[in-house]
Amino acid sequence: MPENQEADEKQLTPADRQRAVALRSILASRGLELALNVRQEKERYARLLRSAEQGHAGVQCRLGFLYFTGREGVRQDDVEAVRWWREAAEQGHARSQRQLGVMYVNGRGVPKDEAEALRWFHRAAQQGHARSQCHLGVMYVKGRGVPKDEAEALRWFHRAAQQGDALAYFNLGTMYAQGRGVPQDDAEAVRWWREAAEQGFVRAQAKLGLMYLLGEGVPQDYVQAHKWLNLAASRFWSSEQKLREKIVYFREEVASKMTPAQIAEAQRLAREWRTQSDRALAERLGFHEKE
Amino acid sequence: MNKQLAKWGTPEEQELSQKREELSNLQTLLAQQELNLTTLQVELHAFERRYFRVVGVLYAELDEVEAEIADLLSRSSPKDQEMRMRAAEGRDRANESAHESKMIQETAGQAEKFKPSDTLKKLYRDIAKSIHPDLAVDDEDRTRRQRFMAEANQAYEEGNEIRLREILHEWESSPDAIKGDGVAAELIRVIRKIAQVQERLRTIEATIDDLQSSDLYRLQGEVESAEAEERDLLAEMASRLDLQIDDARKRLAGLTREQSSHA
Repeated sequence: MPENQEADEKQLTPADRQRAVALRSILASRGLELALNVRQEKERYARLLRSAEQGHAGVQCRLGFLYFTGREGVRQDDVEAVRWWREAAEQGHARSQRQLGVMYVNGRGVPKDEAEALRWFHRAAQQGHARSQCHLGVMYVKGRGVPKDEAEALRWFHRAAQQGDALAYFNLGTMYAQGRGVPQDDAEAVRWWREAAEQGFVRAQAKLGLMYLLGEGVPQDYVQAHKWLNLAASRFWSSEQKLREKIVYFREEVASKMTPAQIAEAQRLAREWRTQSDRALAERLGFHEKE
Repeated sequence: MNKQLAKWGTPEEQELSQKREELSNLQTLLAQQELNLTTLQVELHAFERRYFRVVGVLYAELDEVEAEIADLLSRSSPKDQEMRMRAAEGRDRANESAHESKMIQETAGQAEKFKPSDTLKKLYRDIAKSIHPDLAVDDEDRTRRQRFMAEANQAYEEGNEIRLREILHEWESSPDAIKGDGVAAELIRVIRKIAQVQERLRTIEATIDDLQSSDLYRLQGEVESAEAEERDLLAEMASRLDLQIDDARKRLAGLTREQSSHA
């Protein structure tokens, strides 16, 4: 009955009490959300494990990701991630082959071994896995686990680009910007970076913004520079902090040369781009869900 | 009006006896509903204490680490408005959680489960039926009833049967409020009581609805159904938050290293 309720809070002012009630209700909501997640996760993990142990490659791959990122109540564990990716990779699962290659490159969960990484990237690339084709290209550019061969690298980047892979576009842009395996060509670099930037590839957005700022490969345009740098900056959060700092620095640099109206226009363009990109992403995800 | 005549039942008297019966039925219902409401409130309160102790304190810890991360990030790019805002929000949240967790510590030692015995419930129902403030005939009577009822609530929450018995006994032996005489006056009083009780019944129903649609109640339901599967959901939630706190600490340590290498 209300008369005696909260007797222990009698000394508090009504404002304090209201605050306390609000806080407790927030804490209860956070708890409920977590509780529902935890219950679902446990069940989902048990299902995943069963199906992975039965040899389902796609599920083994997902389990690998769960261990790699330590999400959904699974404790981060590189060795377990490698174990599941290897299971799937040996069955010919391209995405797992790629992941396994990345683990070998970085020496995570396994001793670093670039030749072994190359072998796995190659197996996935041969199957037409675009990201692996990109990685393979990078191995050839840097001469990792294989003699340096820029022409071969370009060949793999182009194969991945044909599939619309943003990383491939970005890498091709970089090849042109640095004149590797091709004559140096800023306009061509901008062309490829723009493709990647439009797909939301953050590094490409940053590069494109810089090209507009410097007027290299494209007429100088502060509004466009600000738009792309702003988009890139907004996407970095706690990871890759240094890169974000650089991007923010350049964005402020551009902003100092712009009128308030120009800045407002650039911000509007950035918002517009984001809205369209979100919508496209939602459509893509919706499409994939139906598959 | 003549008292002798009342026995035979004038229309007014018949009306009065009908209304008295109606009131008596409503009183029984009211007592049951008061019992339901108070039990629900006390149960939820006890569950909340348990939830705060096991899980809430971890939220306070997590929010604190997250706030430190946000602080650090905003200091490293002082021009960045968005980052500053996030840092401020994180700090507010951490302060609030810390405040909550302090309150939790203050309630430490209080019961975290409420399982009233049938005797306790019956005593409470008996008290609510005869003492309920909405049965008061005037303000003075209401104040007196409220005082008794408050004590009864306290005793019920503490599971104190002896005290509940004493309260009932005290009530029964205390002088009744003076009633104006006459059937008509009594009839008016009974009708007024019926209206008061019905009003209170509606309030109780709405309050129970509110409580049962609260996140805390749903959380309690989740924990209980997990218990039925012999799982300790609160402990699972706590270990989940431990993971998140670990992660956040690692992130913080990484950032701190990065910052000091900058300097």
